[in-house]
Amino acid sequence: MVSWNAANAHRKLCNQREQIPRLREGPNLSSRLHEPSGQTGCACSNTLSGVKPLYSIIVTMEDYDYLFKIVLIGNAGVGKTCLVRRFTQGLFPPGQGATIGVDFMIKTVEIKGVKVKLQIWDTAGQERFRSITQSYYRSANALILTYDITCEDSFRCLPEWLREIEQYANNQVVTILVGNKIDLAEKREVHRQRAEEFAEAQSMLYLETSAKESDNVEKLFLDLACVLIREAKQNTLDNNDSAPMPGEGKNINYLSCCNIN
Amino acid sequence: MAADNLPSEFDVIILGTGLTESVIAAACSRVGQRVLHLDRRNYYAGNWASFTFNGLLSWIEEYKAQQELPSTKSEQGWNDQIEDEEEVIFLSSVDSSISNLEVFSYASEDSEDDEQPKAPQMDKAAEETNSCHTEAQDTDSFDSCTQSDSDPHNPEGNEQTSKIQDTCQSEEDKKDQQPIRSPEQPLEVKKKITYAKLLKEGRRFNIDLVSKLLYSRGLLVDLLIKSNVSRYAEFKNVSCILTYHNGKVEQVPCSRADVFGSKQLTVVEKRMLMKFLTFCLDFEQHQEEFQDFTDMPFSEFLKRKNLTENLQHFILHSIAMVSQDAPTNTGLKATQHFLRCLGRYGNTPFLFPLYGLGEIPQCFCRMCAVFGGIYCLRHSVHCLVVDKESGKCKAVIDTHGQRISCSNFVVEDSYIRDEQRAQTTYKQISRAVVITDRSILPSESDQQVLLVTVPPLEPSSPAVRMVELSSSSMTCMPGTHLVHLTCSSSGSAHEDLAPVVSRLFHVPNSCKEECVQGSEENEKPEVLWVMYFNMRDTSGLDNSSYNLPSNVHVCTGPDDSLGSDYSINLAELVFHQLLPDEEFCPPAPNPEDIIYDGDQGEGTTFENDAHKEGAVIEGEDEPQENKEQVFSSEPVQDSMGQEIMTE
Ligand SMILES: Nc1nc2c(ncn2[C@@H]2O[C@H](COP(=O)(O)OP(=O)(O)O)[C@@H](O)[C@H]2O)c(=O)[nH]1
Ligand SMILES: [Mg+2]
Repeated sequence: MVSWNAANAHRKLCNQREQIPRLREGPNLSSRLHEPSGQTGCACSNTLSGVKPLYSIIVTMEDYDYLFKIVLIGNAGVGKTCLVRRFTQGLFPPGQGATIGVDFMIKTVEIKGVKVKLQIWDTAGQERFRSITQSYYRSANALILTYDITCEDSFRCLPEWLREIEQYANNQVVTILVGNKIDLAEKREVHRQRAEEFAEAQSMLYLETSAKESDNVEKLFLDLACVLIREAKQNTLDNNDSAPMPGEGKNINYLSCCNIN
Repeated sequence: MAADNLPSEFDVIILGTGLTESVIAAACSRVGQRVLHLDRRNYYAGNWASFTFNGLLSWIEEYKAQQELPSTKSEQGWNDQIEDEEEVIFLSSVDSSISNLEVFSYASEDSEDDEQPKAPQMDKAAEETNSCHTEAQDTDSFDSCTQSDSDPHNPEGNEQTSKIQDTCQSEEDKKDQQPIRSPEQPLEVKKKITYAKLLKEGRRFNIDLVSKLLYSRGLLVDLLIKSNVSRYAEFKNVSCILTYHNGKVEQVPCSRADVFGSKQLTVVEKRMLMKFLTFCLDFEQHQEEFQDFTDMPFSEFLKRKNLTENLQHFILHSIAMVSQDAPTNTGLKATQHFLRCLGRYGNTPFLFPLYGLGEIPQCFCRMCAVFGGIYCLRHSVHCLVVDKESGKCKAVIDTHGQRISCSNFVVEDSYIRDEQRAQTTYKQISRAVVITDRSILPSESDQQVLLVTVPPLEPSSPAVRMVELSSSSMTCMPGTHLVHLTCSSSGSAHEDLAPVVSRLFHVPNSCKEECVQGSEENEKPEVLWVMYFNMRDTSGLDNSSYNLPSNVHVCTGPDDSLGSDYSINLAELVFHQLLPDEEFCPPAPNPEDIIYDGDQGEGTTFENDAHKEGAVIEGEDEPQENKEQVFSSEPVQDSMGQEIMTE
């Protein structure tokens, strides 16, 4: 029973908050028991899109400063699930297969004293037949577009993925191209330089990783977190146009039974 | 990603990704069924879909193409897969649920000068020379170009409507003084939105084919919360309810604060209305008040209650939202439901999903996939394989000629051929989608979501429901509003709705005669683009309407009502037919509460272990030893110590 230890190293013990926004039905959840150790999440966020400066006040009441939604895409088999599990759980699962019932994974990291909670979403296998729901891309702060350096085909499909990103993802989304499986150097089909040029032409960051050897996996997510923090700070400085105007009504991120006025 | 083959066996195959099918898919997958979910289209949600502007244009093209050449398909490659003791039922390869589609564009076709601001009146003539290009299928039935402004005597008073704004604002917003204009929209001179601009910004639109709102205590919201599917969506509350009354748009006072703050109501009316609404909240307790009226229409009941004409209008059309002849009981129940939904998330009873209603079916699909369901768009079923002896569907042949066996088959109505139908006449829904240049409600903020009820303009015409969306709902580009009109059809969508569109909006006169518009015309939002279509309403059908095997379940709808209760009820009904002993959409575990076992030994694929997996996650075989009984209904996420293995 390991897994979330890495995350826990960075976080304080969770305090039970008295009022937890919930998407669940049920009686007053504030009284629920909480076991601090071995758990990732006590503090349920108010929002899935934490960049909005609007939320920073709320967010700091929890035990992180920022919450970012990171979404993985790319052909089936390139190693997306392995990258997530390597990063969040520190393991490399042998064999291919979806983790049933797991929606997204969470890891909180600390960068220069700033606590960043990363909510990492996997495709749930819907990429297998090119059937990812549009809603998957919504409100993502960052996209990790992954291909397999040993599989030319997975590289050639990238433009198709970019079209999908352009259609459905937020304009400001940060995209990073990842060439995975560099442990299989002898089977490489896509040269690094070619990928770098492609990434640059599309104004994406580029990184090569091995989920298996844990090469660059931490770096991938931490680099992303840094970029996202920088952008979030920039957004706070810029005119705050995401705050609701009078009468507009606020966005409701989590439907809950507790919102009753 | 391409040439992957589908597994050859599933528990449930579901064809169509509309709301009902998607909820069933999620519910089945959630309790461990192996689900294959297909849709012949290249997008999710079928008739529940929302499209970017460009996506909608493609959808229109597809519709046209389909009208032109009726289905000719190659029926081969499957014969060898059918045994002697089996027979086949073919499915329809064309969708005939949409009809009478017509499109009118009034946005200027100029391409480049959209950067240059113009005064509204100046460019009308220029723009109208090339507007009205009709992309209709059957324009012969009515000439669109001549009917633009049917009612020149429309008494459009704007001083009344402008009073509304102050009551529409939520108190907690403090930034009143800030001007609410997007950068593209300078205060005085409004920039014209050209057609080219609509295309260029097309991805900012999410245009729903079905227009509904979520009642904050409706079945859909309850289900989203209960199942945890709500974490895939974000919502905006409808901030204001309006009604077309006495030739103008007025705010409907629905909450206590609204009633007392209202400037349209007299003191007596306020008291009257409060008393009546208070009675409706628990009308069952006051039999004596309405028992004599149970056989009478609600409208009659309102009259007898000595409510003023104003109040009768508000209650009948905008609160109960029932027809003139709906029975008293129905009206009372509807009013009660409305009142109970108030205040849960905002000061109206309604929510709208960011990015459009089309998100909601997709959210349920995601839930299904998370629990192992397999998804395949652009993929359909060619025919069902029925065992002659049992009369049950045992497999399907998909459009790639692959035979896939299943124990149950769930299918959206539009895939069913007429041969399998006991009746082929349907109700219809009339829809209009209008892109306008400003909100119908002049107010400080043009970023609201509004519901407008429009009672029948003529005694014979239908009551129309209108939802106006702003760019803050992520359904249209800044500088425009997206308006959905819906009614139960009495004629074609155009016949039903064009009169309402021209009453409430300024439809640029499409033919050349440059009419001198009254000044009130210029106050109305201008129509940039409008589409009319009818959608088949199959909600009146049930099992007996089809000649199909008993393990084939047809999903009908959407219906024409404002909420989605019909579709959710149906999904639950079908689910219980499939799996009588299983719980419908129990909460999915919260990812933050899941503990992973450190040992690897992964390899959990849908093919083998999906069921065991689901069971472990649910932890149903573990008695709840949690001290807090309150969580007994939610075994998963709230039993904190629980370990959920991924192995
Ligand atoms: N050698 C090697 N194999 C990997 C690596 N990452 C993933 N794999 C393997 O690639 C296959 C697909 O991985 P998976 O994470 O399921 O891919 P996904 O479909 O993109 O989620 C599995 O067999 C993994 O074991 C890697 O970095 N190196
Ligand atoms: Mg995967």
